[in-house]
Amino acid sequence: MEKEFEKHDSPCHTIAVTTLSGTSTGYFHSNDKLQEVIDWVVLKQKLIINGPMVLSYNDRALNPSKTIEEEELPQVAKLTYLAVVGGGGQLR
Amino acid sequence: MDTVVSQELFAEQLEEVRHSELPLINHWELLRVTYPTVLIRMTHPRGATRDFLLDFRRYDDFPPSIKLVDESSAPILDAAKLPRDGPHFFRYNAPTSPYPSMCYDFTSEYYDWWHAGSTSVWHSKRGTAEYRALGTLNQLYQLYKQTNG
Repeated sequence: MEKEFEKHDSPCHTIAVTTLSGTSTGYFHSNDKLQEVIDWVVLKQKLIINGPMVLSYNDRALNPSKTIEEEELPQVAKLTYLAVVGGGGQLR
Repeated sequence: MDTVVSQELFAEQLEEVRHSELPLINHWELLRVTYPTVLIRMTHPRGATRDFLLDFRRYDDFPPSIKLVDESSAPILDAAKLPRDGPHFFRYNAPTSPYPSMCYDFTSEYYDWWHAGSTSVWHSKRGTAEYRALGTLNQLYQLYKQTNG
């Protein structure tokens, strides 16, 4: 955890990620990849991932391999990280 | 069905909904929460709004019943007034069905009409976050977004 604070000691972006388990807020650099944000929230909220998930901003799906800057997120952004819903009409 | 257990689960899980930021982020408005029902208004990304009535009276032996309702909280029966394009989103299971429903495993109609006899599916999933009340509302919203509103 100390390492996490060290890494983000000069924050550029305040990112809040809301999941079904709650909301966590962290500080990230523009050149951090969104996969880092995902890894962080999974660890922070101890999420158990059972299937495909999507990180979104304002209903726009974000590409985890892109950086915060490439996805043009604002300085303060509220994201969601939720399971992909589908598979209706059949026994799952 | 133990009504006391059902009521306790309802109260506990609706607290999770109230404490979550998802309703704010996704523009959901809890219009009425009185056991065993929840009336919620969801705003489509294109601006339209729809009201949904969830009935938890058989929870959690079964998931909530979910109806798409009009201004007077009555189910919308006219197929022409239902949202279009969403996969399996509020359709008539049979000409004799009393109201349109969703063929998804987070609704009681799925087990009553669409796939009767498959309740073991529900029992294996009901404890997971995606199938608690907040997760159910999220699944409903994600599917609503795929319609024309």
